[in-house]
Order: sequence, then C-alpha cells, then structure tokens
Amino acid sequence: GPHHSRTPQDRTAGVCVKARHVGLKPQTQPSHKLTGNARFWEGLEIINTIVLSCFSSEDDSSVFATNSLQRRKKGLALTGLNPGATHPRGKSGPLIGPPQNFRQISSIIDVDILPEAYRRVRLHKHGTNKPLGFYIRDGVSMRVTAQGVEKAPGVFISRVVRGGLAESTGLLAVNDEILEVNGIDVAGKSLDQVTAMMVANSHNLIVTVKPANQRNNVNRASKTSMGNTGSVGSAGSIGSALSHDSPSPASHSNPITARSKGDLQLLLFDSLNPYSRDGARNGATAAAAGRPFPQSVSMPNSMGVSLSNSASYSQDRNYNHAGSSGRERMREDGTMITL
Amino acid sequence: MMKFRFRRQSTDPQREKIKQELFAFKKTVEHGFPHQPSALAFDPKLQLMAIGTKSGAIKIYGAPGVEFTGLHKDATAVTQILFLPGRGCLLSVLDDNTIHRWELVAESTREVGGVKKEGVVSLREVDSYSLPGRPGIESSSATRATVLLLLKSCDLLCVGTEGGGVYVLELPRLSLKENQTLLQDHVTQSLPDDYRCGKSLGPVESLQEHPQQAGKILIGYSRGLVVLWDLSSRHADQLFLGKQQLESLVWERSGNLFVSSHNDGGYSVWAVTNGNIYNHQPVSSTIPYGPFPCKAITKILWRTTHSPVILYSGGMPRASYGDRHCLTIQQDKEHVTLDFTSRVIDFFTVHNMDNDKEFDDPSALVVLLEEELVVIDLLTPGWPSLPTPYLAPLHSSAITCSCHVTNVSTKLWERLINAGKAQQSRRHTHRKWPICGGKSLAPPPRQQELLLTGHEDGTVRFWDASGVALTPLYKLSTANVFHTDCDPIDDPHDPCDDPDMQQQEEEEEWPPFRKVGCFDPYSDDPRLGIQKISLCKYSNKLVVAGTAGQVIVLGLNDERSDHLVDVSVMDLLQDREGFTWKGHDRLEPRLKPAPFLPGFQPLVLLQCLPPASVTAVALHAEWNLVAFGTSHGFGLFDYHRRNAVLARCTLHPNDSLAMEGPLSRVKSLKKSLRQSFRRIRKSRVSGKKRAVITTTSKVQEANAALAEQEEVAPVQRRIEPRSADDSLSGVVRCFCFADTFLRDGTHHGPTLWAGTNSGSVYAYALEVPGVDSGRTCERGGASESSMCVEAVLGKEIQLMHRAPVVSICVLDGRGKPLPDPYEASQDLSIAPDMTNAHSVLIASEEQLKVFSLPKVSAKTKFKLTAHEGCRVRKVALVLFSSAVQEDYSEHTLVCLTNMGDMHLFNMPGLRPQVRFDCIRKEDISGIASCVFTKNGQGFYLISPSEYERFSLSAKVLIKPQCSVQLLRHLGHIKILDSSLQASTLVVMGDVNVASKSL
Repeated sequence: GPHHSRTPQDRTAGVCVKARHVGLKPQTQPSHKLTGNARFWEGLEIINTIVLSCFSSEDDSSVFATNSLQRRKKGLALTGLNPGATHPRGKSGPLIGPPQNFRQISSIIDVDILPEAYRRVRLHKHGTNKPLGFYIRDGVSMRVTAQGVEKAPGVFISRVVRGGLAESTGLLAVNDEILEVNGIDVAGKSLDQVTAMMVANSHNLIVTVKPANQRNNVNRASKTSMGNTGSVGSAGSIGSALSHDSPSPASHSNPITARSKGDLQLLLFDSLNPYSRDGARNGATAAAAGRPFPQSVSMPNSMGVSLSNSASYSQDRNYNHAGSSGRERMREDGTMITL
Repeated sequence: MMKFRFRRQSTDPQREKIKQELFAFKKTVEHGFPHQPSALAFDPKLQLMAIGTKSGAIKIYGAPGVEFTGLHKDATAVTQILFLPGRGCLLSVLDDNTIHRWELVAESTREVGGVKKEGVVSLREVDSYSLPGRPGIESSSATRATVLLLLKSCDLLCVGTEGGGVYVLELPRLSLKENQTLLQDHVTQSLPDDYRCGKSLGPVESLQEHPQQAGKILIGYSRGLVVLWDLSSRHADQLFLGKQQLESLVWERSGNLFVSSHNDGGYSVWAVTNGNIYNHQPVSSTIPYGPFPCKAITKILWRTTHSPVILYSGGMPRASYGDRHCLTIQQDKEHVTLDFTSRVIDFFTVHNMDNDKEFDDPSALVVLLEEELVVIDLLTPGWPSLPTPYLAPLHSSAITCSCHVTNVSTKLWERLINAGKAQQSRRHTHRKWPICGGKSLAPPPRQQELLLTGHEDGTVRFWDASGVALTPLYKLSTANVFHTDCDPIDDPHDPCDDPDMQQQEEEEEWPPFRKVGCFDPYSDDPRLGIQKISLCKYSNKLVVAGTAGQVIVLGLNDERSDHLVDVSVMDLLQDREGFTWKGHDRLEPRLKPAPFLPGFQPLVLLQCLPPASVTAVALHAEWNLVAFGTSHGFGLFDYHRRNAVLARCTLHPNDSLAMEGPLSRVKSLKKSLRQSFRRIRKSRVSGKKRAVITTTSKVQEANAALAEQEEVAPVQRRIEPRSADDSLSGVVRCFCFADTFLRDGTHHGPTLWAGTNSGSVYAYALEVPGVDSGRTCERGGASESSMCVEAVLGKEIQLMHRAPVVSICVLDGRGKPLPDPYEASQDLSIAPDMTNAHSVLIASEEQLKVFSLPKVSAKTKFKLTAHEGCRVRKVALVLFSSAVQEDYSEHTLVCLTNMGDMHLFNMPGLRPQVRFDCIRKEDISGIASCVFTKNGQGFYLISPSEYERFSLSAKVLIKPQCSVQLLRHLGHIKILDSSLQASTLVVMGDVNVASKSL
C-alpha cells in the first residue's frame, strides 16, 4: 500500500506513540497513486484513505475521564488558540499526505470511557455534499442482565449506502445497534424519534453503537505499556459503570492505563477537499487538520488511527446543550443572517 | 456517565409548589356529536337521554350542561341501552353479547393528598353479565341477544335471542331465572299445524310489555308470529299468526291494540280481544308507500292524542327512494316524510307516561341519526324542528381549521347572537328543550368564549364555547363571494326564498319529503374550503383564507347589505421564471353585487397567484393590515387603503413540487368521488342489522391481524439532514405583527415577521401612517410617501437546522409577549415594556429559541428534537393563573409535539416545566386539529364530529357540574349533589370505567 510519510513538527508537546492493536480494517484497498499534484487530490474520489497517526499529549489533565460529549465548551474555547490553525489559506503544497489535505469525516471518541463492546462515532457532515448514507430500523436487542439474557427492542442500522459518509468511515455497519444519539440514550424511543434525533443532530452526529462485528473493537487491555497510571481508578470505574450491557471482563481487571491522560480518539480523514477549500467556516476541521502531527506511522493497509488528546482537538461548536446560551455559528451578510 | 442528560432542573420545592398551583392536565368535556352512535335510550322519569357508540362509550345528556360519560372496558359496539326509569341506572348490551349495569354514583367527600374533594357523581359500571355462549362459538348464535325488555317493575329483564328463546334475568344481580326461560319449542307446540309447517319462528324481533297488565309481554318472532305471554303463569294468552316478516311491535296506550311493522314496508294493527286464542288477521294492514315494493319499516311508534300519531322509520319505495333515510310522521291527513342525510339509528317520543292521563300526547320526537340528533316539535302545527342545545353536528361539513377567541365583549357577543337568529329558518321553533333532566350547577361562565371552525364548504361557524355545551351562534358562508356552479342566488327558483313555492312543491311531491338536519358532507367546490381564520375582537374584523388562495377581509354589520366586494390579485411568484402552476384555478369572484345577511360581510377579497392554499394568515386591525402566505410566498395588504404593500416569493429554485399544487382540481374530484363511494359503502355495511359473528370470521380476523403485524416489522428510516431543496420548503408557516426594535435599539416601530417551512425568517420594518414609530417621527410631517404603508426588509434569518418555523412571537423588555392590537393603545392590557431590549421567540419544529433584538443573537434555546426525538406541531403562549394565589400568573410556552404530548416551558428562559401526555401519537388528525386558548385550555378533534376539551391550567376548567334527583329504592328520594372532577379513570376490580363526572 502507499505510505504517507511526514515529519513530526516541533510545536506539539505530545508524546507520540505507535498504535499496535488497531482492529479496524479498511473497506477497500486504496488504489491511488501518490503524486505531487494537489489538483490530483481535489479531483480524485478517494474515500478510504485514512491516515494513521498516533500520539497523545500530556497537557490538560483536567479533562481526563470526562465524557467528550460534555466537553463541548472546552473545545470551543480552544478553537482560536490552537497553534495549528495558522495553516496558511490556499497554500496547499504539492506534498501528498499531510493531514491538512484531508478533511476529517469521522472519529471514534471516548474510547477510554466506553465499554469495549461499544463504539462512539462522530460523523462530520459539514461542508460535504456527501449524504450521511445510512438507514435505521427497529429490531430486537439481546441484553445481558443479572437475570440472564433479555430481549429488548432496539434500533439498528439497516442499510449503509455506497459512497455515503457512513460507509466511507468504515465505522458503522449494517446491524450495528444504536445505543445513543449525541449522548442521549435511545432506549424506549421509537424508530421515528431516533430518526428525528439523528436528523436534528445530523450536522454533528455522534452515535454510540454496539457493532454487530465485535472483532474489530479497539482492545485497550493490551495497551498497558504506555502512559502513566494516575487515573486508572476513575477511568476504570466509569468503564465498569457503563458496562451494564455485556461487560468485558478485561475492562475491569485491566483498567485503561494506556493514554490515561486524555482520551483516545480515532480520527478519520477524507481526502476529498483540501483544508484550504473548506475555509474558516469549518473551524473544527481547521483546528484538527491544522494541528501538527508529530509523527505518522504508516500501516501496511494504509489505514490510520489518530489517538489524540481531545483538548487540542476542537469540537464542533454547534452541540446542543439544554438552556445553554451557547455560541451560535452566525454569519451576517447584509440583512442575511445564518444562525 | 454514559447516559448524557441535559442539566436537570433542580427540584426546588418552592418552585414545585408553584408549578402545582399553575399547571394541571385534565380532559374536561367532549363537545359535539358522538362518533358512530349505535344505541339510544330515554328515561322519561329523570328526563335523561343516553347514547351508546360503536366504540363502547355511553353518554348521558339532560338539560344543557348535564352530561355523563362512561366507557366500557372493551371497545365493543353498544347495541342497546335500557334505563331503569327514575333510578339513575341503566343497562347496556354490547355486540359481544354481554350486559352491563351502570349507575350514577355519588362518592362521599374524601381527602386526597390533603385536599378535600367534594363528592363526585359519576357514571360507573357496577355489574356485568355474559349471556350463555359467547360469539365465536358457532352454536352460540342461538343465544345471541337480539332484543331486551325491562319490565316496568324494574326487577326482571327479558332477553330475546337469535335462536328464538326468551330468557329472564333477575335484577339487580342479573342472574338467570332458569325456570322462566321460554324456548321456541314451547311456543311451537301451541301453534296450529298449518301455521307451524315445520319451520322455525326465527329470532325474537320484539319484546313489549303490556301497558296495563304487568307481567304480560308481547313476543314478536321474525317469521311474523306474535305471542302475548304471561310471565307469571307461563302461558300464552293469545297468538297472533302474522304471515309477514316482522320488524317491530308497539302497544297502544290502552293495551287493546298493538301495531306490528314489517319487512315489506307495511304495518298492521292488531286487536287484543279476550277470548280467542288465535288471531289470524289484523284489524288493518297498510303499506303506506306502496304499491311498488318497499323497504322494511324498521321501527314503528303509535302514540295517542285525540287522533293517533304514527311514527315509523323506513318503508320507502325500494326503486325510487330506497336509499333515503326517512322517518314518517302521520296524523289524520298530516303526513310528513322527514328526509335525513344520514341513517336513522333509533328514535323515541317524549310523551305523557302518567297512567291517569287518557292520551300519550307526545310533545317531541327525538331522532338519533348516524351523524346528528334531530328533535321535532310535535306540539306545534307543521312539526318544526327544534335547535339542539348540545350534540351539535360540528362536522356538518368537514372541519378544516379552528380558532379560539377568549374574553369576547358582551357587545360583540350580542351582535353575533342576533346575526345568528336572523339566519335561522322558519322551520325552527323555540319551544323548551324536551330533554331537561338534571340540573347544571356550573357557575355562569366567567367570560364569553368563541370557537370558530372553518369548514370544507367555505363556511365559518361560530360556537359558544363558554360552557359545557358547545352551542352554535352564527354561521358565515363565504361561497357567495364567488361565482360557483350551483349559485343559490343566481337561481330564481330557490325554495328557501319563496315559501309559497315550497308549499306547492311539498303538496305535489309524494312522498312528502322534508329535508331535516344540517349534516351535509358534500362540498360543492373543494376550493371554497377554509384554511385559516383570524378574528380581531376589538375591531370586529375577520380574516378568512381558503384553499384556492382566497383571503377575505370581513367586517361586522347588523344590517343586510347588497354590495360589490373589492377584489385584488396578488402575484406571489414575483415574476419568478420556470414555474407553471398545475393546480386548481382561482375561484371566480362574483361580478354582480350580492346580498349579504346581517353578520360578517366581506369587504375585500384578495386572491393569491398561483392560487395555492393559504397556509398562514395574520391580521393587525389597528394598522389595517393583513398578511397571508401560501406555499409560494407571502403578501401584505392594507385593506383600509385597498393597497398591496408587499409580495415576496419564498420558493426555492429547486422546488418543483410546490408547483404541482397540493390540491389539483382533477385529483380532488377523483378523491372526493372515491370518498363518497367509500362513505356509501361504509354506511351500507354499518346499516346491516346485527352481523352474526361466526368462528371463521373471528379466525380470519385474527390471522389478518397477525399478518399485519408481521408486515409492519421491516420499516426503515433514512438518516439524512434536510436539504435546502426539499420540496415545499417555501411554504409560509406563520406570521407575527409586532411593534418592536428591528433596525436599532432605540427606535421601535411596526414590524412583520414571516417564517417558512425551510427555517427561513423574514423580518420587515413597516411604516404605517399615523402609527408613532421612531422613524416617521424623525422625518417630521407626513410626506406623500408616508400616506401609504411601506415595508422594508430588515432581517432575513436562516435557521441552520432548516426545520419549519412553527411560530414567531416578539417579547417585550420584561420577556412578556406583546399585547394584541388595540390592547396597548386602548389600555386594555398592561402596556408592554418598550424601554428594555425586546427579544423574539422563534419556534421551529425542532427547537425553541429566543433571540435578542435588534441584533438577533441567540439568548436561550431548547433543542426538543435533539433531546426527545419529537417534533413540535403546535405552540402557544399561554398565561397561566395560579389556582391559589389570586394575582399570580406566568406566561408559559405550550408545545404540542408529534408524540401527542404537551411540553410546557417558562418564558423567556425556555426551561422545561412539565410534560403531559395528551393525544395518542397515532392520532395525527387530533394533533393537527389542536387549538389552545389564551388561558390554558385547548380543543382537539377526537373524531370528525367531536372536540375533546382539555385544560392545562390548575385554575381554568370548564367541566360539567350537575345534580340529578334519583328515585331509588321505591320512592326514596336521594339527592345527588355533585361537584365536578372530570374524567377520572376508575379501576374497580377488573372493570375499567372512564367516567366523566357531572
């Protein structure tokens, strides 16, 4: 497969590590050639080019073990401060592979606090014309409870459209059970309600799923070698508290020690539009893509995992927060206001 | 926590207490006519009428305001109701062959949660009895109840069955008296051989107790045999060997005669003379509408006065009038065939029951039809009909929209009543309402409330919604503004205008039909349908907008007037190219002056082009402005100067569907044809007498249900954000007129806000001559241009989530909604705060947001859909008053969602207060029809003909309050005094009764 190589940049305070157990498999083998022409990137429809870069940073322990869903404001506040945001506009060099040339399309978030059997996926719909591209249906979910296995109504992904955002991430598949939509439990909600919730959040959709295929889960238990152990307890307790549904013994006995400071994120980039095209409107992309990557590790299958500290990752701002007077994305153009 | 929740409201006990004093959800009363009535009964002693429905409801009505409701546990059709006269008890027979006993029960005063609740009178099911052999078992149809008879002594109930047997049950326990059972074999034995001829007598069709001799009953069998049976001696006194298939029997008051009605459209009078056991021939036999084959006379009544009155349903000549729903009244030479628009379910007369009196002397005939209740005054010559004080057929033409007006001034009220009186036909009398049982104890309404309903036929009906009984006040027709195919005014031979002509016609016609009732589901032109209504109660201006883009501005006039209506056409496409309207044409305005009756008379007719249905309307009578929107754009019109102020296209270039027209003429004709066929088919099916349910049909039903369930399972939903080019994105959903700060924070002035289906909001600054706005003052002096209203686009807001904008409301400096037009200028309400910054509430289907003005930056919001997965359907700003503290009230935003629940939010903080489940989420038409009052009540349609009234307020409740004097336990008089707690669901053992108290 093609290799993406780039130089680590000095500005990052992060410690770069190499992810060793990445169970995700690309949906298709990338077949593009790496040429030095930026135009090539603009025109090419390559979806499954995923950069692998793993790093963690030691700053900002305050956000440790908090749910990224609740950290919206933090991310917002950091948007402007990120040094990476200084990437010059329109200067897409001939280099191939720098993350600036990739638009983030999805990420796995909160890996540290979720039970291993679950996956929390953020889909970045903004700025793309690509459809989200999936369907959901009613179904029956098997839950392990103290009383044994129970059947409960659940909502599942019924179809993933070819060429859609959902398919291109490789993180959502048919028969994955939807557990949460932007942090809100869907238990007891009808299919129409879940649909409405997803559509309402479609500009920044975070779905927590229980993948039908459990073999590709990020296996935290085996990554015990890195990071400090300072926060094992709290992370572990959250993990176990959440694992009401078929808890993995590993998450109890081997609480997350890897990357204990800062949670794990798996960022997936889409190479459709270079960053420069996205413009300042897309703050999240700007921040994420603009952040210097300390190191990139090429994987044979050319798919990547970026494990980053979410504090340096700017969250999309338009997250709903009850009663919050949250900042609005606002554009004023004469009398025309977009809110 | 994996479960992420929005910040919980801290449960402040103080706040919780206030909430309890403000909010309480209750379904209080059902207005209108019960859907699919199936049984009727009358208690002559208590003067109460009961109606049973196909869904298992029982409703009791007495004097206006006296109402009781009960619901059977199973939603099975009520086939018969019997009152135990004077006792406040009744028996109901259901389609599943069960008998239920109901009582009006007074609960003793009790303490509930520290609050003393007064004794509540409610209708309760106290007992039930299942006749041996339930349907579903083939053999059981023999014991299926066909008719019931309650003996006058009220201790025995005779049940006639399909198999021809008569069973006797003892009351009140409803226990079977085995030894009293009369099987058909027993009767057959005593028949002469030539009559017997080996055939069964058929089901029991009628049971009637002898009017003078207790314990003797008349049993009529389907084949025609009538037996006078003595229950005590268990012996047939007399046998009447009728040969014609029997439908019904009725005694004459003296007991010397009885009348039988038959399948062939005839009736026979039989003499009951002692001595001869066998009667072979009736005294007389007539087929009133013969000689050609006639339909059956399903029920006959024979009432005595100086000369007998015969009343019967059916019997029409099969070929020519077989499809008519008729009831005939005959006395001497008087003969009237009441011609109804829906099926006759049952009827009774209100007459003298006193044994001392010589005659029945019926005073009124009460006819329960499938769609309305008709009462005929039998004391007034000509037998005119009586207007009903309740059970109004709301749906006489299908309801298309509604609108509620609180606190109507007495002056306007009286003018409406007078306008209504002027339209009442000559055929109405104002005799006292004959069903006058019970006494309404409800205090006189605190204020006059109007409910306006718009209908498919272009009428707007004004209802008195101040009390428990929804009564019609006035009907406005908009059809005469237009030139329609069946123009009544163009027709010189209109019988309504010419009494002599009518008389003549009646004499010539046979049978002598008379159209009675007002249920008329057939609309002449669907384009006339009313879509939006707005009434200004201070200036008596009314705006009515309809399906073909018509917007009519009307004013109240107490005199009849013949005038030409000004017409103005508004092009909402604004020369946008590439669009061709494929929908219906606009209505043709009448070119000649038309006579308009006292009441609301049209001043201006606006017609939108393309003539798409009007989707939003707003009236600001103080500024003489009306705003209206369709799926293509919106317009603003100054009706005082007859001047179009503004027209704006809201169409998205990619929206092709908007051009098709939601109601193209061809389509709608097809549709209405299909619907009328369906209606006919439906009424035919429902008209069948007693469908026998067999095992096979039950099994088939179950299988069908199962198959349906399996089919339902694989439903999937696409997850995609709304795109800008979704169809019908240009539909204008709401307007708001407000005197507020749009351009800067120091000068306020008139503004108009409009919201669309795709989350766009347009805000215009208006310059209205004579209205003090900062701008006009600056200019100093009325220049030529300020003589007409001007609109300048101030802001154009696009909501990111693109959800339809449901409502816009401007809040003053204190966060309170601005008062209605005239209220501020005429000191009718507290003046709005114009010193502090205003804000605007924009409610979309997904979110509620308050923005500051004039900058339009978000202050507070609540993302309902993102949190709950439900979508906003209706919103209203309601002033809730505390039930405890006299002067405490709060403005609250009430949200009805597509899940049928009510979410209440405080203003302007948008913090959730309470949530109530209100409407079933499957009941889409119920949710769509919901309207709120300004004081925390609401109405929604529970059937095409009924409004459920509910209250969200702990203080404002309109519910039945009444007392009934019962004669229970042989003359012991018990007075049940009731206070009212409505709609409680009482679960007693396994008997589940929803009762509405009185």
